[in-house]
Amino acid sequence: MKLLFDHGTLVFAEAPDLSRKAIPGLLWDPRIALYRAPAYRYPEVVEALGALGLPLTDMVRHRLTQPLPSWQQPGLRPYQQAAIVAWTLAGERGIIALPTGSGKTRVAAAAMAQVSARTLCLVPTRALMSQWLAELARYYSGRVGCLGDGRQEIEGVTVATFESALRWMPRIGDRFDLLVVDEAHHFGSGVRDEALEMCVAGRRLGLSATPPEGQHLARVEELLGPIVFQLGVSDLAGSWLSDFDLVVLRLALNRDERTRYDADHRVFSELNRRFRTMHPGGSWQELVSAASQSAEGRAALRAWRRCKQLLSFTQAKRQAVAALLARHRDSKVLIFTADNAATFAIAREHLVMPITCEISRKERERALLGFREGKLRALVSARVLNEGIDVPDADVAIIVAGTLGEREHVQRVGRLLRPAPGKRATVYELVTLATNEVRKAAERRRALGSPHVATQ
Amino acid sequence: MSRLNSHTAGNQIVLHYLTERDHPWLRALLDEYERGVGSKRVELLQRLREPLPVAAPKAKQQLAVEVLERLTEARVAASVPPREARWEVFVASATSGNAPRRDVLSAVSERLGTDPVRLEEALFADLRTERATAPLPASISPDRLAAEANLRLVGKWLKRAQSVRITAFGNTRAVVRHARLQGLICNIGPAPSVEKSERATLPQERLDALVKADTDGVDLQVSGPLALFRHTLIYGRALCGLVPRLLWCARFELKAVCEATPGAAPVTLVVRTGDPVRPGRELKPFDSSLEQRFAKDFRRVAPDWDVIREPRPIASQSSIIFPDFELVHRREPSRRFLLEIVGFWTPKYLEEKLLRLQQAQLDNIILCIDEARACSEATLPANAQVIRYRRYIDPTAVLRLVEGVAASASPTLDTEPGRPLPKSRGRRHQ
Repeated sequence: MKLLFDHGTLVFAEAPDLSRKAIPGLLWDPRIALYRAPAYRYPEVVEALGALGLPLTDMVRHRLTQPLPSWQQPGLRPYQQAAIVAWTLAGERGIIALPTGSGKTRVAAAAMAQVSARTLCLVPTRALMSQWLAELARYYSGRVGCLGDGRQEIEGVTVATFESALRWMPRIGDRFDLLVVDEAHHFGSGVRDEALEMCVAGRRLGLSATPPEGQHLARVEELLGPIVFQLGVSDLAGSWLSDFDLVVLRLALNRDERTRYDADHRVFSELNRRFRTMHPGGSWQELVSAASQSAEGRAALRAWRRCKQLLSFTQAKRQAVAALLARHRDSKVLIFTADNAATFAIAREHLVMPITCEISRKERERALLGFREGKLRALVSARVLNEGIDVPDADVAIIVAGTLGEREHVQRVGRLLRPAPGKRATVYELVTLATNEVRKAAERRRALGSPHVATQ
Repeated sequence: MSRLNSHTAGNQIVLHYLTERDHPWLRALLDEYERGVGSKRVELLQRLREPLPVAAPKAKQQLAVEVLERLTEARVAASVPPREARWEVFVASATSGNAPRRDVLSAVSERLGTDPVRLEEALFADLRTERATAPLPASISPDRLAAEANLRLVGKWLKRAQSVRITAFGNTRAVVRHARLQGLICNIGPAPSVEKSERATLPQERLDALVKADTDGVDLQVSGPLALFRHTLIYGRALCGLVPRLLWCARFELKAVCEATPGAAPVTLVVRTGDPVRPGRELKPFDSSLEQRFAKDFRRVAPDWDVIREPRPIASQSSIIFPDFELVHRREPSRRFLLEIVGFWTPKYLEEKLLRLQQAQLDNIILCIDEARACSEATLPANAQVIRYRRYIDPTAVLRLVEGVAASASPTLDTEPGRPLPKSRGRRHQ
């Protein structure tokens, strides 16, 4: 019997009658008149076939055992070493959760050096891909491959964006024995998971500052393994991460804004109240789905969107941003907004560089380098700076508004926490009084652990 | 379902196509667009999603705006390259201390040879969300907008499809090639006969058409390898790509099993000849530059021969063969050769292909085989004419072969089994 890789699945050629119970994931494929199994179950399949004692020519294993150039083990901090030990003890399969700035990429490089196997690293963005390529080149003597951003180079160690991996995995899913997934919280639902399903790699390492929860976690655990090591911002702030102060600025709406907000909020609140009465514990998606069925519901959702838009950049926030930028003229400032409209409004008003998904990678890199060298004093972004981009030495963050909750907040604050001698970062959070921002801000702060909070 | 411009009847999807009846509001939509030329593009697109002066079905309007947005990707019009403008302005702002905004813009505009207003306009002129609306291209009409919207509508459902079954007549090769190039599993067979029970429900003219065409139709069942295990979304893009190619077929019927949302009950999408779906732009006629170059070069060196790009498929036991080209003599149409390019394929693929050719007992097939592929003489079909190539197929070698056969008395090829041809003189990369 031959075991082959076929477009993200395993195919059993010249196989006798096999029991579906004996081999994990096995199904008869009438389209090709052969047995088939999902690629991610490769290690279990091989083990099961071994237990059955069937003669097997493993055409997949052949590709995985080609030797690699040498690795140099990176120096690790104690908690990074502990993370590697935990992952190794878990059978080289699982998720390591560490805050932003704590050196997750280095942990991954250490795991790769330890295993010294053919490795595919998945990263969410092109910008992050460049950082990984540079970091891995420090420890790996061979050529590092790259899939994404117009490059299609596959090597023993390859870095790919999520999107490219999804496209390429049916063809390359049998070439790697270790799969490293950065920002693993992006997985757990949707089509991206299929990239992980189509890879035969038995060794898997997920990295995240904010691991997924609930159903998403269960799915990610199935594809990457359980969370084997976890530390939060508060565990490392002041020691391995820079310490920081969180300053909450409570701002008011002006009369016109208040009138508009209250009117729209009333419309949405009524819908929300009725939905909660009928469906206690219903999710936001269920609410949107139910509301979309009626004209009244759709009007309420439009009202909610208007509220959100209004709060994203109120007049008071506009003034606060101006005051804070003037106050921290000599600091490196990151400004986080809820949407691109607010991002460009701030960029125009204060002539600061916006970083959005529309800004090309080259321009982003130039901007980040300019920021690093002090040529640019501030960057403003809605989401792109949230995670994945290495922004050293920023010491002030202004969080104008957010849309993605606690996870986003932890990522944003993490942008400031890369340690530097004598550094103490400041995070300003702009919260509009008597709106739902107050509750959300409290939830976000709880997610950070116990930061030093001041209110003004 | 309204989001997908459709409703279900039983387990079948009924698409709300845009037709001539929609042209009045589509014209109004285009007029609104024209009114917004020069304004901020995202704001105009937002405005176009709101009620129009002429009543328009909301879901159809959303779909038309999506298509219009894609068709009017604006060009950048700025006095200074926006990227340069951004860098200069933001660096100047950072290094100017507490200088007022207008002073920074004045200083930079002077340096860049423009004025502050134009400089500010140029700052984000290349970014989708900030760019100004450009004039409507002349090629966009209500009719074209409707056709593109319908194609997009079918595509939206196919992105949710798990498997697709197609019955098609004529020009089916492009569909099969696309499916295979995309790594889909494409089971091919002759078109099924119309069942008696089905005959009773079909209109007479359709029944006649089906019965008449039964002999040369093909049945394609397309799905992805992973689709065996669960409903998956990864093949959506590839399945979508089938539709424009399908529109090339003389007749077709596509049935797709789709899920509107993950986990929803499967529903069936049916698209067939006569539905108001048209490709918005011409498809690339060739799958590779190798094929394109061969067709061009052969037409040049062999003016007496026609190169047919989409020859009729050939039945081979339970499957169908799709040759790449058919070469037909202009004055003697009985002199016909099928040409199949075998390049960049795995040995397993080649093995299967040769087996199918042997089963079909084709006596007029020319195989162009990439020399880089391992293919021994013994495995070639008994009556195959072979031309070996590296990167480039020499058209004169092909011409010599077809003319050489013409010199013999019989139109049927009568050559030694697997006889290799003399080396061609064309540009070959050994």
